[in-house]
Amino acid sequence: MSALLEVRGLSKEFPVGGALRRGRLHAVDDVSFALTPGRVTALAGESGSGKSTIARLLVRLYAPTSGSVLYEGRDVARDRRRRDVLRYRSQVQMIFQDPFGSLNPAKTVRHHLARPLRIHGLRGADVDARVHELLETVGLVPVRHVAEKYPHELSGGQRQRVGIARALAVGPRVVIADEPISMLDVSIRVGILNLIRDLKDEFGIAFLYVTHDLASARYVADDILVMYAGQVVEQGPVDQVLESPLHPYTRLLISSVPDHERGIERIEIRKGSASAAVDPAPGCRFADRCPLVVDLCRRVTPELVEAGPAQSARCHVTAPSSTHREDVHAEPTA
Amino acid sequence: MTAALSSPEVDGAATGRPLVEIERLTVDYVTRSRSIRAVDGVSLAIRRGEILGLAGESGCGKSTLANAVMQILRPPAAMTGGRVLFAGEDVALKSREELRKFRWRNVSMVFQSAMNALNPVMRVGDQFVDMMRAHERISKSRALAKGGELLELVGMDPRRLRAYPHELSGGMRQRVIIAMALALRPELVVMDEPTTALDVVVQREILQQVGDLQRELDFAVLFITHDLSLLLELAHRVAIMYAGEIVESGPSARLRDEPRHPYTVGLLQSFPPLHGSIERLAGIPGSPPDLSAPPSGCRFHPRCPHCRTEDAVLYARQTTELPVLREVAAGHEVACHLAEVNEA
Amino acid sequence: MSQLQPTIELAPALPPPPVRRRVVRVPGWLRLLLRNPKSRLGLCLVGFMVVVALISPLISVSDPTGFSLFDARQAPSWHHLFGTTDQGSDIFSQVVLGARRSLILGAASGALATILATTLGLVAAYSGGIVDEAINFLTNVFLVIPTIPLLVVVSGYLHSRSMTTMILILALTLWAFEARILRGQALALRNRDFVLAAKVAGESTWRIVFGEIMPNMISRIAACFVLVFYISLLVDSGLEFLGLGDTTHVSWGMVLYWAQTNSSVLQGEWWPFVFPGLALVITVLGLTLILAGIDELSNPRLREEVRLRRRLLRGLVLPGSKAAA
Repeated sequence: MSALLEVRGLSKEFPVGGALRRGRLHAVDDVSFALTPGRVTALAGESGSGKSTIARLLVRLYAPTSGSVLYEGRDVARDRRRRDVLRYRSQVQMIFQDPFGSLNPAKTVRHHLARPLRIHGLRGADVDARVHELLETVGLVPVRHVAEKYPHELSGGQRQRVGIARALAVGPRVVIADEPISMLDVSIRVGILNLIRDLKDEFGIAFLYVTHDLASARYVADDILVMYAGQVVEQGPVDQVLESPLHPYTRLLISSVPDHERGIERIEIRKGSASAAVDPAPGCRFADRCPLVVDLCRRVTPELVEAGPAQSARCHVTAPSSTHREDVHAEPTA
Repeated sequence: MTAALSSPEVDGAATGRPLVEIERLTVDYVTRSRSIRAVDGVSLAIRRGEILGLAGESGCGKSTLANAVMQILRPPAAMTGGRVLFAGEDVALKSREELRKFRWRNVSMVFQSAMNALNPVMRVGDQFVDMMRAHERISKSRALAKGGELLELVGMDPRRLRAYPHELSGGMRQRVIIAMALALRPELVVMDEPTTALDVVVQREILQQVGDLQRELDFAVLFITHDLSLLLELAHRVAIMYAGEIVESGPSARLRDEPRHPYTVGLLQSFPPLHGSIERLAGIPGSPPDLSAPPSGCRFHPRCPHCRTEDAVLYARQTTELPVLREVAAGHEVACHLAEVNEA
Repeated sequence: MSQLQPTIELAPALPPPPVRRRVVRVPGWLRLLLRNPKSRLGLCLVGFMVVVALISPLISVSDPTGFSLFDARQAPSWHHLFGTTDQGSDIFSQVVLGARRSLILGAASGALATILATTLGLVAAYSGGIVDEAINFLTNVFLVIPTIPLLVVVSGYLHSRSMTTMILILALTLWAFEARILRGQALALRNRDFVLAAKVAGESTWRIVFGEIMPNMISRIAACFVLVFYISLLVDSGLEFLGLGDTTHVSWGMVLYWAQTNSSVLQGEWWPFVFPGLALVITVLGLTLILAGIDELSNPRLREEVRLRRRLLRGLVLPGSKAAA
C-alpha cells in the first residue's frame, strides 16, 4: 500500500526563554514517517517529546519550520489558498484528547457534527441523515435522542465518541488521534480502542495514534515510532519494537509501564535535564540518562539506522551506523 | 529476581487494632433539588504501616471517602451516617483545634495536581517553613534545614528549596508535595491520584520512591486511583469501589489472581497486555450509574455479564437485593450474589 | 456499522422521546434567571417599570408640564397621586412618562456599549498580534476618558442636549472597561480544544469568534449590558439633577431638579423628591439584583456544585426520568 500522508524532515522550533535569553526549542527535529490506509501508526513518547506538536503540525494548527508534508505525493505545507486548505481539511482530521474541552458546552451534538458537513458543502436533509449515520457508526444510539444532547449531559466516553464522529464527518482518509483515551476511565478506554480498530478495518482510514501509553499502542497499532526530545529514536512494527527494543529509552518506557501480569523489576532511572531539546548540542539527547552511554554519544548525534527487519533506532551502541561502528567498540564505557 | 514495590506481607496480628476504622460511612451531596448518596455505608480498615489501595472510576465516591477521613468535606457534601475512627477516636468529634493538629500531624494528604497544593508565588522553601511553623514552634533556619532533609528524603537536591514551583517539572513538584506530606511524620498519608497527571517514567520513579519511603518510615498509605494495575504492584491490600460501595477487597495478590466480583474481573480485563497474545478486550459495557437514581438491587447489575434473565431466581435477587460484603477467603471479601451462590 | 459494539445499554424497546408541547416557550436563559431568587426579584422590579413605561401615555395627563397655579404644590391625593410641583404639574404623570426616557436611554447605551465591547474584545482576543495591540491601545485611550466631566463639558458646548447625544457619549465612555473583561474571557476560551476543533474542521474566523466562542460568554455579555444600563441611568439622572439636562422634557432627574430649584424641601414638601427618587431606586435595585443573579449563575462556586452533580449523574438521561423533566 502506498503512503497517503508522508512527512519528510519535519521540524518545528519555538522561541523560548525570557526577553534576554533567546533560545530555540527544537520541539520536532527532522522527523520522517508515512501513514498508509488501513494501518494505525502509533507515535509514542512522554510530554515534551514532540508528539503532540507533530499531531498539530499535521492538522495545520502550526506551520512547520522546515520539512515537507506530502499528501498523495503533493507538498501541502506551503498551501495558503482557502480552497486548498479546505480540501486538505476534508481529508485529514483530528480527535482531541480532552473529552470535556473538545466539545463546545453551548452547542448540541448535532451542531458539532453538522458544522463540518456544512462547511464542506452538504445541505438540507442530507446533513441530518449524515449526522444520524455518524452517530450510529460510533455507537451512540438512539441517534435522534443523542443528537439533541448538550455535552454536559453525556459521559466522558460518550463525548469522546462524539469527537470521533466529528472527525469522521467529512469522510477523511487520515485521522490523527491525539491521546484519545488518556482522560477516560479505564473501563471505557477499551471501547474507544476497539472503535478505532473497527474504523480502520471498515473504512480503511490511516490513523496516527499519539500516546504515552505503550500498552494501548500495542493493542491498536500496527507500527510504532518512539519519540524523545523531538527526535524519533526508534521505529518499526509494534510487536517487534516492544519485544526487542533497541533504544535504551524504549526499554525504559517498557519497563516503566505498570504490569500486574508479570513481576516487576526495580529499574534504575537516571534524571535527565528537562531542556534536552532547547538549543541542542551535538550528541545524543538521551545521553545523560542512558545506561549504555559511551564517549561517542556525547560528541556525535546518532542517526536513525536500520538494525533489524524494518526496525530502526537512533543509538550508537545498539544500532551503530557503519561510519561509527568501530568508534563505539573502541571506547570504554563512560 | 523480582520484588514488588513494597513488601507484600503485613503481619496483621502484630499491628493490633487498625489505625483507621471506617464504619458504615455515608456521605451525601445535599442540594436544593435533590440529595445524592456518594458514599453508601462503606466499612473499611487501614492497618498501621500498610498500603491500602482504593480503586474505582470517576464518580464512584473514592475521593469523597478520602475527604471524609480527613474531615475536609465541603458543602454540599456532608457526612450523614457511620463514623471514622482514627486510633480509636472518632474524628468527627474532634474540636477545631484538635482537627488542626490531627491534619498533617496524624494524617496528611497528597493531591493529584501539585499546583493545587503549592503556592505559585512562593518559593518552595518558604512554603515548607510556613507549613512547619503552623504546627510547631520552630525557627525559620531550622525549618529550612528540615525542608532540605525532606527533599533529600524524596530524592531531590536540597538546593531546590530556593525554586519557585513553576521552575520545577511535574514530577519534581509532586515529590515536593510528598515531602511536605511527610514533614511531620504522619501515621497515615492519603494519596489521591498522585501520579495520574505524570508521565509513565516519572510515575514509576514516584511510586518506587513512595514504596521506599513507606518501608523506611513505616507509615500507612491510602492510595486512591483509577489505575488498578498500579495498586496491584504497590499496595498490600486493595479495595474496589463502585457507585459508592465497596464491592471487593482483599490482598492485592489475591485480587490479581482470583478476582471474584465481575466488576473487578472487568477492570482487570480493561488493561491491554504489554506482552503475550492480543485478543480483543471487552472492557465493561455501559457507564457508571446515575447516583441520584442508582439501579435497584446490585448496582452493577445493568453492566454485569452474569446478570441474565435466564437465571430467574438469581436475577430476581440481583435486581432487588443489595449484595453484602462477605468473606470468601482469608481477608478477601466480595459483595456479589453470584459469588455467594458459588460459595454455597 | 452494526458490527461495531454499541456502548449505550438502554432498554431494548425504547419508545421515542415524547415531543413536549409547551404553551409558552420560555427561553433557557429566562428560566435560569427566574430560578435564582435575586434575579427573579430584579426581573419583577424592572419588568414592573417597563410595564409602567409602556402604559404611561394612558395613565398620565395630556400635558405633564402644564401650568396650573390652582393645583400648585399639592400633596398627594386621589386627584394627583404623587402630588404636584410648584407649577401645578402632575408629578405622577411626570414620573411615569419619565420612566420611558430612562429605560430607553439605559437600554440604548447599554446595547451600544455592549456591541462595541463584545466586537472589539473578541476580535482582539482571537486575532492576537497587531490587531490585538491596536485594539488594546484604543481601549486604553477610551478607558481614560471620564464619563461625567465629559458629559458636563459636552452639554456646555453642544447646544443639543438630546437623548441621542447622551446615549452616544455614555456608550463611548463605558465600553472600554467591559471590552477589557470580555477580551480576557475570550482569551481563556480561545485555547480550548473545541475552538481548535472548529479550526481543524475548516470553520472561518468570524464564525469561530461569533458562533463558537461568543455563545459561551453570554452571561458576561448580559452582565455588561445590565451594568452599563444602570450606570447610564444614574449618570443621566445625576446630570439632570445638576441642571445640565434638557429642561423641556420630562424625566426623573428633571423632577428632582425642579424640586431642588424650587426649594421644595424647605417648604416641607416631600413628594417631589420621594417619588422620582423611589422610581430610580426601584429600577436601579432591580438591575443590580439581576446582575447579582447573573453573577451567581456564572460563579465558579455555584458551577462547582452543578459540576459535582453532573459528575455524579453519569449516563444518558432517559426520557421520563427525573432529570429529563
